[in-house]
Amino acid sequence: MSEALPAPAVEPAVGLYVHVPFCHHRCTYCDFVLVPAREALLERYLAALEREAEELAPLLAGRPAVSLYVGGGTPSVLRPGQIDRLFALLRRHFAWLPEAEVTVEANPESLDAGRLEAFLRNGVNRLSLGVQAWQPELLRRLGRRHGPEEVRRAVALARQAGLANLSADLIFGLPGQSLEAWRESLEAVTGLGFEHLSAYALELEPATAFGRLHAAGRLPLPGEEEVAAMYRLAQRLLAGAGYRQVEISNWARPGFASRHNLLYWRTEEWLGLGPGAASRLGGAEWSDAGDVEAYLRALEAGQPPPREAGALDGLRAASDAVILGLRLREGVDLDAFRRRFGLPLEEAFPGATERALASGLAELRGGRLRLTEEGCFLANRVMVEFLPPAS
Amino acid sequence: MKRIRNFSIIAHIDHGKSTLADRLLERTGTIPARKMVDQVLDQMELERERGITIKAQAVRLLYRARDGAEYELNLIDTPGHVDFAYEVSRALAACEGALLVVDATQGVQAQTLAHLYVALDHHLTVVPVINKIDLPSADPERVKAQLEELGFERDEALLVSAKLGLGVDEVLEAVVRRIPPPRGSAEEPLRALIFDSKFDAYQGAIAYVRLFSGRVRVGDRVRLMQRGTVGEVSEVGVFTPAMTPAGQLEAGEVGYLAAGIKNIRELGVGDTITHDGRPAAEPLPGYRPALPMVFAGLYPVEAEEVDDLREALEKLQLNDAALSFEPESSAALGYGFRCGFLGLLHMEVVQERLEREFGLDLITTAPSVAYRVRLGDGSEVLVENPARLPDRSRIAEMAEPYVRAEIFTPAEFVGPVMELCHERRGSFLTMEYPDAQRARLEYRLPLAEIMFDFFDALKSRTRGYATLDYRFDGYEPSDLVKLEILVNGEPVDALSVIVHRSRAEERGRELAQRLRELIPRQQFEVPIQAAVGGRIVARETIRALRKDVLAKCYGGDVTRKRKLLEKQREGKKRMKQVGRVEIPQEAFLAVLGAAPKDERA
Repeated sequence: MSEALPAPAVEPAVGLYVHVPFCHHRCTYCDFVLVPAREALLERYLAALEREAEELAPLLAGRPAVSLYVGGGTPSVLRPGQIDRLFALLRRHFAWLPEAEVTVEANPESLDAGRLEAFLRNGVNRLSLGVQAWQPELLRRLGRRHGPEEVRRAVALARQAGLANLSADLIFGLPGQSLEAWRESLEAVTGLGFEHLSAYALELEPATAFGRLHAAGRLPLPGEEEVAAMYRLAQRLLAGAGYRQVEISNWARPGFASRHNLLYWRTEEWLGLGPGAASRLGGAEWSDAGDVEAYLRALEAGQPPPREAGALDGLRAASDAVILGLRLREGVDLDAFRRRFGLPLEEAFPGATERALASGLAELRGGRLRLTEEGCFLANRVMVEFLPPAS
Repeated sequence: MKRIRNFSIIAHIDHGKSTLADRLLERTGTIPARKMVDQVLDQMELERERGITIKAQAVRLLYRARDGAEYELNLIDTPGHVDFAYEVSRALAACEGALLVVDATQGVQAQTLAHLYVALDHHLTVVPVINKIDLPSADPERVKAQLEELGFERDEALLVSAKLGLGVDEVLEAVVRRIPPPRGSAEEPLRALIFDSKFDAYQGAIAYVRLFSGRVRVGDRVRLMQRGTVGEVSEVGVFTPAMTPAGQLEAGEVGYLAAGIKNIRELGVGDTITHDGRPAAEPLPGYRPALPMVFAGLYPVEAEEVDDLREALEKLQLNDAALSFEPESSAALGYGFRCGFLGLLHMEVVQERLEREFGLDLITTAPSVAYRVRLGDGSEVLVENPARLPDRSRIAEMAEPYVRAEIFTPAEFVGPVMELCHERRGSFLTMEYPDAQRARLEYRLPLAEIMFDFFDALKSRTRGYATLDYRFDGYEPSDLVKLEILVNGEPVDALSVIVHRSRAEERGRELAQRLRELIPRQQFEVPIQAAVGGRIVARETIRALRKDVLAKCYGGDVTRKRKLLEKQREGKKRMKQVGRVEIPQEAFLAVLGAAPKDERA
């Protein structure tokens, strides 16, 4: 065989994201773009979304998506009829593969038979449940309105309806949460047979109830040592229960890694619709500016919603590819990096790999640079090495 | 020349010197009221921000007096902080008179006296001005009595509110009537005193001059009488306050002069300019060069910036004659410069100017005084850098610099002040009560003890009322030891300090504690140790970092998370890798204890 030629450019995979910015109330740790779910707003939203879909559809020009993800907010606040309308408008403007992963996020307490039926008749094949914790007192602290019973009920309903791919979100490092409570939450969700788990260390955002309490010194957070111990417990316990760690905060049974999330971490392409949604397509990135009302008004006036855009020029795209790629346990394929960006990783970020390896937080395995198990919870220290030079 | 007056304004800090200067500029129409920026003469951004005057500035005012004649008043502004007393002395040498501004609520303070004595040394006519008479707590009668004690006539003092513009005309009249006009003839050979200088990218070195005799025009060949530098005058002019070219400068006048002198070191402040072809017989009395009292290493964060740092220091030195520097190297920090400063404020100012005006990222080491070390073989060395202290076995005796400190305090705080001076190894000299409410204390103190947080401590123990002035008062043998700091088991030369044996353990503990707070956690546990003569006197441990991760990152988060990482990298930039440990800039100043306060200014 003659020397390797650069691989022909393959069109990257693309996914669709739809942001449903409504919740019945705001949780104490959440700073997502959302507003209270009022009927009139839901109607205006569906109309505006149709207009945005119309505007953006030409960007994909019929390219079929490998994944469709409806997130929020709480998509399960939509009534069955509204769910049908949402999917109908998406089908009018976009295409997705027959085998595409179609995910909807839901709160355990708002999932009922009618909504589940509506999801299923529209092709939904994956459900992501906001479980967060197992202890009623912790859930109350989080501002959640469900308990363990609602989770059990939602899982049973979903299984009865025939859903074979369920995911649960959990949070650790919560105020008042002990290592034992965390173990109980992990065991409860693995016991319920979820195919996929996301376990996040609590991130304090300033514009949340938690953020304000913390600033006032009134949030009894566990110490860093304890939070690190919770993370290690998740790594060990989930491995023992048959889950593989896919990414820093995500685990899945074999074959159940989220296709949609892989788009992000492999820096493929995605098109986002709805207020606050982000897109990365054709060498550019942009997000719809956060305000729901501004989004609705612009589209009602026949204008595109306010957007913030950035160019993925120079080393920016390469940097994102490494930083997001390192989040995956598979790491960054060095050959693929060179083919994609036209130069070896070492030339793009001189000295960075060496420093990352020397720190013991990263390793080279099978032509890939990846975080070590210890490195997962200290990932930032590796990632800062791969930022583009400051302008 | 009879219509020229050259004068300065001298005052204790915050007694209203700059505000009075502003009013004089406004009243004489030098700057129309609508164009006034507060405190015009504080030209440096830094000066305005911190409300301190660092550099002497000159400005020419044209004033039509009540006698109907127009006078040329040259005002030379002076710094107020004790660190910059040297600049005051230079400014006063160019004047015949001075306005002594005293705050009507605070009365005579330490620097009021210090400045007054310098003015009298220069044989200046001093006009006392009692300022802030508009304040409810003003007590001008009491201040008049204090001034009487200092030898002024009871009714000599002018009553002014610079803020409200009250009494400003009387000040201008007093300048004209009480301060004598300059003497000296324009026909005699040229003698121009360089009282300050600055660097201009186009004209090279520019001298701020006061002509004592002769005249100077563009095209003249001039010579510096001490340095021998020769140049051709390319521009002369006056300060209005912007530099404004004029045809010539004559005996008695104040202005500036550029003579194509490119090398900034060849233009010495304090030197006398004369004509190359018709030189004066004797130079004017120059100044004693200011003695740097405090030394610290300045190192670029990026090693390759060391040449930029040298150039920047050379430029700063031109208008900061008190700054000294020479190359040095450190095992921890690489190549840099050991710089000499008048005091800590001076050090901060230099560091800030280097960072702002020259865009440099710097690490400053713990400041130190200069120790005299007599070695076993009888030779003597001056040690300005603790890292360079010879081995204990070679040292016969060490001596440290002392100062004579003068402290004014409300009488009720005499006890706490004496206690503080005692804690700082001071010896009591005298105490007196200028009036029933106030005491004046004199102490002899090691410079090293008052250099750091003494002023802050003094202020906090006297509810902010005490004032301080000090001057160098020789060397004295002392029982000193080197306190070494080990980070992760390795000694870091740039962190070592010289301290009195009696205070070594306490300082070691304080330093280790501060470093534990200042050095960010690393991936591994980092011990911080303080050692004296190989014996560990204090130990702290920085626990290992366990979590440094962005837990969530999906499509919508990428930009935000990238920004967080960039911010994190910015923080890393200002750190220096020493062995396996990253040490931030501030850690090298940990010896200063609490961050230096602006109130010291």
